[in-house]
Amino acid sequence: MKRRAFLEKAGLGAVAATALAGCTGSQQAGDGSASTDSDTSADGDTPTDGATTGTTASGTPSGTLRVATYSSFTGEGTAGNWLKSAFEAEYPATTVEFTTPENGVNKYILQQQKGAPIDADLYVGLNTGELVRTDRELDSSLFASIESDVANVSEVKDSLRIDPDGRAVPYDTGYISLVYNANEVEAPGTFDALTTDEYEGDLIVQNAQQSDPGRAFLLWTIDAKGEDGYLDYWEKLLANGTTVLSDWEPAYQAYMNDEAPIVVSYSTDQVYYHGEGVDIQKHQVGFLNDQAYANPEAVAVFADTDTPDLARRFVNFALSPEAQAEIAVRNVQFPAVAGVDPGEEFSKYAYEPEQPVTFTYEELSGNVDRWIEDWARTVADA
Amino acid sequence: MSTRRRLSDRLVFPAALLATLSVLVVVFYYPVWSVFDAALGDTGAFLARGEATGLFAPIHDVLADPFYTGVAHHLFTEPAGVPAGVLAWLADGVQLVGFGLFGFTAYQAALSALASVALGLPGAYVLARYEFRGRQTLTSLTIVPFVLPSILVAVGFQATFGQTGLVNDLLGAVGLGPVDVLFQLPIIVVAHAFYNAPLVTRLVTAAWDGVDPQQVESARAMGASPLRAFRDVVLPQLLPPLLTAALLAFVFSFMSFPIVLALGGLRLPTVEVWLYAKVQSLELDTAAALATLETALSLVLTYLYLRYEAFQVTASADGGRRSRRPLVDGLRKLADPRRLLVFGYAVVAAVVFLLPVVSLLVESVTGPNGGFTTSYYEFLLARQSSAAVGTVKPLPAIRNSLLFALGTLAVAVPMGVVVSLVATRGGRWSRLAEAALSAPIAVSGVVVGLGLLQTLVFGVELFGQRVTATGPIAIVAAHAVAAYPFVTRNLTPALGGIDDRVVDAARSLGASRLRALVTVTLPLVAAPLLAGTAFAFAISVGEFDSTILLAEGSSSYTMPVALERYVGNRSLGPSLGPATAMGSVLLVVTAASFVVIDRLGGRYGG
Amino acid sequence: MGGGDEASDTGGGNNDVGDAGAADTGGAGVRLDGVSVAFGDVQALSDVSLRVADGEFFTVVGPSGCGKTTALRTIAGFETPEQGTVSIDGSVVTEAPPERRDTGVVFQNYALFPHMSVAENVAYGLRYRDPPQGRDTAARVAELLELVDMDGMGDRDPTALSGGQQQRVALARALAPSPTVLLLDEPLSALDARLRQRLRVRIREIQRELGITTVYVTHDQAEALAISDRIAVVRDGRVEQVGTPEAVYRQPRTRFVAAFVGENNVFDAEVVATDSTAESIATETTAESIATGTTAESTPRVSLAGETITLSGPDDDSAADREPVTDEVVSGDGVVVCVRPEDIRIGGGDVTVTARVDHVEFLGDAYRVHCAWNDRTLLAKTRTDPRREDAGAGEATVQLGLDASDVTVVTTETGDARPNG
Repeated sequence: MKRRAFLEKAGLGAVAATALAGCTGSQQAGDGSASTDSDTSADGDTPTDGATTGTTASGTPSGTLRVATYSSFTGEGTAGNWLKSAFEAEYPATTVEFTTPENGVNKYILQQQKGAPIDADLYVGLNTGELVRTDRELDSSLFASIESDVANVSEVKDSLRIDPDGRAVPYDTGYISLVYNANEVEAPGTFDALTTDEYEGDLIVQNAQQSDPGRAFLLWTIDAKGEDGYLDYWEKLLANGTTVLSDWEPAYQAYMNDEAPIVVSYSTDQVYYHGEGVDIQKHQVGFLNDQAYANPEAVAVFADTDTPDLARRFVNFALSPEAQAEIAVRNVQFPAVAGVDPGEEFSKYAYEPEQPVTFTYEELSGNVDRWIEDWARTVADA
Repeated sequence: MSTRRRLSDRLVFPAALLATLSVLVVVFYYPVWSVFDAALGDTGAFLARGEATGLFAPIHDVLADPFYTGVAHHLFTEPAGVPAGVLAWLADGVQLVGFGLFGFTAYQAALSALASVALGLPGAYVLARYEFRGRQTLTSLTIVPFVLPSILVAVGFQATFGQTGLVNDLLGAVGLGPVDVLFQLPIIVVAHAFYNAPLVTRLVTAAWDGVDPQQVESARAMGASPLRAFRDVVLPQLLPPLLTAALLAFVFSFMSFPIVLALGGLRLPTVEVWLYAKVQSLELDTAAALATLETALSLVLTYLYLRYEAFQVTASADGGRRSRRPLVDGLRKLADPRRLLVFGYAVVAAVVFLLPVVSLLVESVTGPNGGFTTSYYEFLLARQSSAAVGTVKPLPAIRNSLLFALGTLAVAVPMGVVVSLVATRGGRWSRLAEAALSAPIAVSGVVVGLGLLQTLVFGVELFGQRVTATGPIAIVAAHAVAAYPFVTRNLTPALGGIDDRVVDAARSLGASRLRALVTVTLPLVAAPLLAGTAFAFAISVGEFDSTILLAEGSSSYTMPVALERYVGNRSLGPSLGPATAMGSVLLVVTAASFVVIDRLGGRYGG
Repeated sequence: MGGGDEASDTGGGNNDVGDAGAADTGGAGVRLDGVSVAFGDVQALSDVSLRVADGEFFTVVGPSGCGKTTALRTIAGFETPEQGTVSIDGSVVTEAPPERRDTGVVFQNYALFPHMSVAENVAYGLRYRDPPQGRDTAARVAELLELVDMDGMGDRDPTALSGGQQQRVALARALAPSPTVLLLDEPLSALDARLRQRLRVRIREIQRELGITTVYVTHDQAEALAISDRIAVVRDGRVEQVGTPEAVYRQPRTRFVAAFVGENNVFDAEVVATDSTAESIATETTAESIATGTTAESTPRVSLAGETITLSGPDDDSAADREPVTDEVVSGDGVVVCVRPEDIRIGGGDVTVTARVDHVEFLGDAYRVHCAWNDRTLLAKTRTDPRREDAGAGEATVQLGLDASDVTVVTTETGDARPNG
């Protein structure tokens, strides 16, 4: 009730009444100004009725589904909360609970190692490197293979399939690219250009030890320069004044403060920054060699979940076209399923590379930690 | 009845000590050991078959790796060749050698400790020797930097010292600059001083207040210049707290992690950066080895320091009133060179402490295009009104932070007092005990977090039941463990300076040991106790690593946790705006708390 | 030595005897029985037994480090003895914590609570005494401040008071809860001489007024003599002698007491003959043996400088103090004898010696004359300046005389040649 009172006060009462279908275009805080999430339909405790009303049938599972994910996946107006309300509307006898472990999937790896019960059914937000680590650390797989049980898995783009065993299924992907300030520099275009005098001191990247985009960018350079050549390349990059900051936020903050005109970021940058009052020149997305590094986010079902069926239904639901569009918009990532239209606004401002690159599970397995350690030592010694 | 009272009074201290040790074991030693034992290497082979070759292998591997230890790795790879190597090096003309990651970490920590003293000591001088409007409040506020999450300090520092920052704007206005200091060693050192100079100021001010002005006067009467009188009379009494603060600054800077990466980048890495990376990639042997070495280094330093402290004169803290001279005393006196120096220091302090904080406040109302915006605060209000699951609301976070902090004080202050009493019993063992009990400040937060996760959060099998300990009580216990060393460190030197006979007098007048402690001993050390209390509060409010692990769902989130959640929130675009708004709230709430603590605590001291 | 119990029996020739007897019953007052206290390897008190009678002003005196403060702290409960028992007012309190002993303690450095006002200091003990004082605290504080001549100073900050004032506040604070025993640990030593004398008179007056059992610790033997009903001289953790000031002064029982209490000339001597009758003989002195004594039951003879003198019995009231130490001696035993400087006069006496005058101090009412005789130092306190008296001699020499009745046999334990504390 309090929520409704607030919404009316904010003049948004009408929006609250619109259901799921109308939400696509409402995510437009791009100019960074006042509008808070006008899209409030995903409030967990007041599931809105909508397209799914009346689909409950006898025989559908009931119970509680514990979804482990990263913190920004849940909360007001997020993809997670939309999934929760929509899924609970689809299966009224179920409840979706989110848990956001600080250590991510490491928590569950350690739980399995220590013989502690795993207190989640589903993990949302797994990337390839983490899956590799899971398998390296554990004798028996943390996750169950669901490929054959979940119908919509077959819809996922082939290029995004990260798990040869069919456990981790991507639900969206981001493309790591450069964001540059066109007032200051031209798009470098190639990896080699970044090592030239023209771009001296111009690049900010993130620490691959702890940052997703940083790790993706490193892997991208390994893809481009080869396992034998990437350290040489990085030495040139560092000699050219590249700054390696801890994580995406400080790096982007530094970029916005004009510390350097190029930063490693996502190709969806303009989804946030467009429209009036925004200097779009400062939010140019730059690919290198017409590539960008795809960083798919996957969902996986824990092997010893109590509710394997419900968990699989959740995965199937997340891969449905409607959910795919919602996730894409709310998570500001590209859908994992082909042919999904995340809406005009998203399509206009989110860029896809001609040639997405990404390392497969097999390629990362046994290599990724060493690559990162060697890279980090190179940076530290530079 | 009297027998019962006597008995209960006799049991108070052993019981308090037992409770203190229990809390330490449950939320610190046991969890931390669960991580550290990986550093021991192959203990199984040793225990089963007496094979010692695998023992301490992870530690040896780290020590023998030139990346970590530089030239010192020869000591562990080919110790026999070291003398020849040293000779060759001498013959070669003594080139500069590196000591690897540990060497650089210690180097930057030493610089940071120096900078903290350089920035903090004049502050203590001003606060202890001059009277001016708001002096009390300013003293209270000195701790504020201590609680700021590193991400916000990074924001504040970038906005202050960056290419387009305030300092360069000011320099530009007078035709100087721009200076490019971001992502360089000096900025890390200054950021560490930002965090740790308050320790210096607060500890030293408390001691300086206890220096008997008559001692200075008699030195002056005997012909000592003011500077000489300071060196001969005041400085020896300030040295213990000064060195305490410098030691803490060194240890903290040694184990510093997020701020180093956010302001300096990976090109200026500390051991902790590698430790974190190893934990993240679950290479726990190496992580444990790094953590063990870090902790061993810190504890050895702490023990050596405590040995030193035991031989020092301590400020008597007898509550004697000392006079402060007015800072502003007519225009004529403004030209007084000493006051000019004070004002010069004020300018430096303003640039280092005030500008980043002000910049942070400004950032919280500045949109991405540089215009004024209230959207970040509206964001907080919207979070507060939201009913959506997973939403972190600011008000409960504020409430939890304050409640946990008060709970922390209720636990950490008695713990700190008990440990201080143990430490002032005298003798080598008590010093060793205090060093061991100060371990919470010598263990990396990453390791404590991992340990808590593996033990309290996952649970332990006890009598066939899996027992877990999370939620508010566990959080308060964890905070108290992190906080009590600050109480102890502030208290021990002052307690050592108390005349036992004053306490004896109270006992002979009928006060039990406990009552004498409360009515006489503690009021006599009110100033250091208060400083310790304020730091304990600050530690609790700023704590993140343990809180986030032990918080059960969003009901136990604190301000730093909320802030971290808002950092990741993209609903206003990829902006740190909401985090800066939450950070500003945190700043205001804690600043107000410190003022209240000092005002209330000041009464206790009488 | 097991001197404690025995010593208390030597209790005195005046009316204190009755009180000492009361202490022996173990009723009121303070008792230490066979108390030993050690700090690590240091034995602070060894088998000390003391009895302080109800209402008595009892002083423990000794050089610094002798254990006298430890004795007081043991009574107060700050130290726990390894052996022995402590009783206050008839009950054994050996294990009781300080707050259960009903003592008031005044410390050398005052130990006032600097964070409290004068009145709060005085009122402190009224908070915790069991049973609680029925009277109004403020009235009691005012009463006590008046008692120590500090009326109207209740609001003062104690750190702003003079030393004497602070000590008086400390006394008022200790007395406020009406303790059974008042313990004073060198309360005057930090004050100047004149103030010290004034305050000690005041302390004694107050003690008499309240009739409170008092144990007073000091290193100052003059203070001890001046203020006490009885004195215990302590050295190296042991009690050397207990008795009235007069007894301890006139009949010291150890070489140490003889030298420590008051000024004295102490000599070693050898018994050359004994006689059970008053007609005993003493013969034969050598240059090395400056004093040869023989003893009898009550009137021993001493020979000084070749002249045999019969020691008369002690004067008047100190007769009872005379300890028959010389009962058991036989010819050839060593003894220690002493002569007070004030008993040596210029001119002749039972014994007359010629000594060289080294130094003369004018004290106002007397002269202190430092002499050398036979490589010994001789100290005399005279009414006139010997240099004037003996103008005839070429060198500054003087004829000094003393009477046999003034030579006291201290002890037979001559091996005890430790320097005077």
